[in-house]
Amino acid sequence: MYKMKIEVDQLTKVYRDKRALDNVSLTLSEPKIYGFLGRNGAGKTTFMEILTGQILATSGTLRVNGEAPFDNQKLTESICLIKEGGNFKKELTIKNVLKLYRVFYPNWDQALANELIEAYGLNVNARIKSLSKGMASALGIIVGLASMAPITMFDEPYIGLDASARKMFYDKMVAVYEKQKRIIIFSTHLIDEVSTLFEEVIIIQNGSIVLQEEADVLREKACAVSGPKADVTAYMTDKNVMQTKEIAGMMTAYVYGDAVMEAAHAAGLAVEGIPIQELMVYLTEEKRGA
Amino acid sequence: MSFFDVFIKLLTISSISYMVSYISNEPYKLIEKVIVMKRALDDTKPIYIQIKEHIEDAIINGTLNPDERAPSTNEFAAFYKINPATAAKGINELVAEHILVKRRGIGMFVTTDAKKILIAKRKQTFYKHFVLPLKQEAEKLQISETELIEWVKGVHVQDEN
Repeated sequence: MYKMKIEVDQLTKVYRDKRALDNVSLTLSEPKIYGFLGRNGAGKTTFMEILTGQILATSGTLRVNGEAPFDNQKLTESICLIKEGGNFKKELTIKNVLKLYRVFYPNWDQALANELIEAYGLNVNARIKSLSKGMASALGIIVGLASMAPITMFDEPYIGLDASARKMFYDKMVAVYEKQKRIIIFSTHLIDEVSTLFEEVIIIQNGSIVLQEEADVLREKACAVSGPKADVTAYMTDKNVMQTKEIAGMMTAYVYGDAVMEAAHAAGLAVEGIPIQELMVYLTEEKRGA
Repeated sequence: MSFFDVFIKLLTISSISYMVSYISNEPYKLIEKVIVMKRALDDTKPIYIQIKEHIEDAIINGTLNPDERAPSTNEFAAFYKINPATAAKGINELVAEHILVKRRGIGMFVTTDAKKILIAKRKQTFYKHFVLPLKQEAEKLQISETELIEWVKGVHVQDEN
């Protein structure tokens, strides 16, 4: 198990006309698979680029084991970020890429890389520029997993990958993680496919952290409560309501908080759980424009 | 879901799981015994609770018997593609409740009293989860108490048409 501690304090990144990150503070200290979720432009990629030491923050600090990652090779050897595309130089062959990363990452697992190259049917002599989107994504996944970097980030890593190739990625990720626990930060829009993999979920919206919570706790704290409008309205008074819907005198309230399900049962209302993907949609819609 | 739907579902599930337990005695089929009730997890309910319930159901159905090995954290994680820590949480709760016992270096095993404990536990919630909804639905449909009792006894069979 790799022990790494990421401490983020009032991290802010301002681009010319946009606050990409706005006073973000959080701590990730356990080797877990984190779901890092948010809408397009929420600030996910900016955060991951600062964590990888690729860019500098405007203000605030981000420290990994007490050190800043920017211009710190010793530290960045422990951090791997796989992005949606453009991960590798176009002129290189797959063989070159693997060799480069093997040199860079001290914990590199060559056997795993070979196994995955085989599983994804990649030709190691092919140049990056000749790869299809799916093949380039597969290579990114292979490098990310085989890097064995104590902090590994996947930022929407599978453009062009079909459902079975994605399934293989999830299978391998679980198997690799099981053998060697590390911090995996996984950002994706296909939340329904992977939500059971997350141990903790972080939701970011407009550059701010909306929520950081254990995945199973979320499943207990979020629910849809339905019943006659008057009853649901009465129930809602002291609850954190994300959204409501009404039809024919009946109302459904999407609520979030401690013991919201018990309270609804006690009030004789119908209760349904909310999948993490839907929860993210409700939470980030509510916060919009606020 | 009405009581009758639940009842029919339970019947189907138990017969399928019985068949599977009959066919598969291979160790690698172990997880199949437990997950036969469900192929996929429900994202709206804590995953560790679902893992826990799967094992409980398998023990109650008799597909997983005393002294048999229960699937490991890794097996659950790989099968459902869930976080190993989440699977471990469900399994550990069963250990705390004396349903499973850890044998160092080998795995988790079903205790002798597991089924007894589980049945006692389920009986406590049977009224709330099954009888109460049945009564409420019956009231809504103005089904008389006598009629309801007859149905439960199986005396009266309703014409579906």
